[in-house]
Amino acid sequence: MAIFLQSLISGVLIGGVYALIGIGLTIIFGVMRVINFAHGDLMMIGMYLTWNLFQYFHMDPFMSIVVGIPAMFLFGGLLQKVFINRVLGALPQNQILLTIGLGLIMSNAVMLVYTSDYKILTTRYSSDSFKVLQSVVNPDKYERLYDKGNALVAEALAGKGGNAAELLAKADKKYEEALKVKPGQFRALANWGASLASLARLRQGEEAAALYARADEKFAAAAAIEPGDIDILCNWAIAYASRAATAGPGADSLYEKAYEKFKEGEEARPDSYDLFNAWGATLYRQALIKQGAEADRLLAAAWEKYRVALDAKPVEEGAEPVDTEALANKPPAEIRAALDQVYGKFPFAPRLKPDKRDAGISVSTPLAISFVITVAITLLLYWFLMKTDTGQAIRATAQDREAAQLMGINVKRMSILAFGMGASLAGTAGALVSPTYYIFPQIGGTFTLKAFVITVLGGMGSILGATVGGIIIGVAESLGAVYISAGWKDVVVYVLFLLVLLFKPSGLFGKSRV
Amino acid sequence: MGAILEIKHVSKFFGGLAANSDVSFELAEGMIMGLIGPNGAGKTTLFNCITGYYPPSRGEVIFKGRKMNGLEPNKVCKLGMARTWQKVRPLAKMSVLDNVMVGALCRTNSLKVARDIALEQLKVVRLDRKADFLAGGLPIGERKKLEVARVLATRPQLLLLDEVMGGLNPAESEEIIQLILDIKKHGITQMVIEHDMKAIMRISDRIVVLNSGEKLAEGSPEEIVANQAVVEAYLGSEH
Ligand SMILES: Nc1ncnc2c1ncn2[C@@H]1O[C@H](COP(=O)(O)OP(=O)(O)OP(=O)(O)O)[C@@H](O)[C@H]1O
Ligand SMILES: [Mg+2]
Repeated sequence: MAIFLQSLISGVLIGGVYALIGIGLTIIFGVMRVINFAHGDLMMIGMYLTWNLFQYFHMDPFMSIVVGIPAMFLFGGLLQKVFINRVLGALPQNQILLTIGLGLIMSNAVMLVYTSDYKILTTRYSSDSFKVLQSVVNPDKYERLYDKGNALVAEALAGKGGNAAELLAKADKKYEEALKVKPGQFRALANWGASLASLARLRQGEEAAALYARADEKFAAAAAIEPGDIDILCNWAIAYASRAATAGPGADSLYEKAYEKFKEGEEARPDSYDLFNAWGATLYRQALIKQGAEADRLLAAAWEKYRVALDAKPVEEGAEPVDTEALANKPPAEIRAALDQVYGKFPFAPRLKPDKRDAGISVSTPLAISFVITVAITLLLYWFLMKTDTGQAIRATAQDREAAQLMGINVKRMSILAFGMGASLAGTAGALVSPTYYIFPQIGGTFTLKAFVITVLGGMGSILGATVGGIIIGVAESLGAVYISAGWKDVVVYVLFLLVLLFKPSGLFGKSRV
Repeated sequence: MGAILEIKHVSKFFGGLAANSDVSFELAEGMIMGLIGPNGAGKTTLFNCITGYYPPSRGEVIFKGRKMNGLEPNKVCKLGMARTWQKVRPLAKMSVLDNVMVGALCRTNSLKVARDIALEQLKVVRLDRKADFLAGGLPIGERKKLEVARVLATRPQLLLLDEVMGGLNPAESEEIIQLILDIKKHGITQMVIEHDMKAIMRISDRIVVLNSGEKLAEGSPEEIVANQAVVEAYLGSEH
């Protein structure tokens, strides 16, 4: 179910871009009865335009359509005026030769300038994604809330955005709700405690104390369910330690409480690197507020824990194991200097282990943005064609060029508009896919073919057909790639195409021609 | 009353075939001119030459004192000349109202104004009740009316009607006749191709007869009825 939804959604998203390419081709065909075999190459030009704007003017690829749309419109209009116009009444094969020729000139001209190297346009968000439909894929309410809480804490700890406190406060609510749905869950309690302790670190005074007290409560409840769980004890101890740092005179008793927890942890697992490391850091920290023999004793203890931690640390492949024996019996001054290095910046942050579950459908951010833009452009285009005088004139020209002309419509102007619009749509599609596709001069061919399949599938000249056709092709590719194999996705598309041609030759939304 | 349209020695060749040959006549403003002749006489071809659908091979078409040869049909339309098709050509996938609005856009850029003009013309041809129907679904009689409404919406001074009564029943034909006479009252000059002799005699101020591409006769309806050559061309010489 999740896999199906996942591939369905990515299919629809990429299908939106395909629809844009198909709509361009279908408008040109509708108004001029010319199949534009240079359509994919126009898209390729759009990709290079976007790449240049990105590379040299640092323009976001999605923003670049503001420049790309008018530029491609002018380019398309010029092609129509200079070339296509001359073959409007000509034999179809002459029209095909002309548009194929124009496409070849475009791709070769681009190759001359940019070579045939693949270009990649990487934006901040090129590989970002977000989750949707969690409630559908993960119907268990507790798990959803719990996951949400974990996600918030993870985000807060990752330190993005600087609103950690806000995120942790939200996580607090999520864990609370989760445990209301299903009380007594160990993991939720453990993570709740850790997140409260983290939040407490960001607060001061009584507010912090109250949060620490609540964290204590949660840790205690979790530890009651699984006594001796190393993560809980470790986090609990760290919480005491970080509390001690701001406690002033009461610090010592809090440090003692931290050591109690470390000891409990040691009994449960005497070989935990994390535990001993944190223990060492805590001792070192307490030593910093002491003087003389007291400080030396704590430093020596910290050093001892550090050595145990090193022993427990899994040795990385290829690395020499550290000889911890050799580190024993050092003079206090050396120990001090070494510990400054090791624990000087130890983060007293709880270590969270939110069991990573892949809940929800992941949606690629660039694809989602491009889909939103596609929808907006399609609606705008629809409005233009249905609700403006020029739109009405274009539709009339598409239905009957001669009758339209005899009613005063300047069909040459409509042709220029149509080709300009087709070119802008192709260019826009190029801009939209540029963050996710390789860019190279010959990429046009694939898309010309795709555009052709889409328009024939939907019915030549039908905008609705091209929209639906684009989505169908996107979904067919995506489902084909998942359920058959990535290499076979084109086969799925063409089989679908042939079936439609066999059973409805005029396309899904085409009127049958006599 | 000056001539709104002058046809001067117009010929049109399709390969070796002379569909029109050396046709000349004038059309006075406000008049209805009947254009008759047997099938294949070249009537539709003459309309095509006049409206700029294709330029005449020879000769001149002068509209409002202006030479038209080779002028694009959309410009001809803007100048105030409009025609209907013998084989009606509604924009089938658009609504009746939209069809007429396309015609009105010849005179305005505002869809709102175009809509008002279109509704007004639909009332004139009594098709306003079907404004929202798809043009492709209309029966033949109403399609012909739609065609007339559509050209009227371009606000023409000269209207060329190619067999608008063809295929209609007598009641429908009568409606169209009344419509043509109404249009005349608005001061629009008309040229009408029609096979129905009774109808053409009733509505025409003058009649031109074409036969095998040539002008056979020209005159008032009474003169044409009395013309032996016309009778022969229509009914064969044994009559
Ligand atoms: N585009 C064309 N190419 C070749 N021949 C043509 C073309 N249009 C008309 N013709 C020929 O020219 C002659 C005149 O045709 P036209 O359609 O003008 O006759 P018409 O008087 O309108 O006839 P009808 O009363 O049947 O409508 C016919 O012989 C026809 O076959
Ligand atoms: Mg005819």
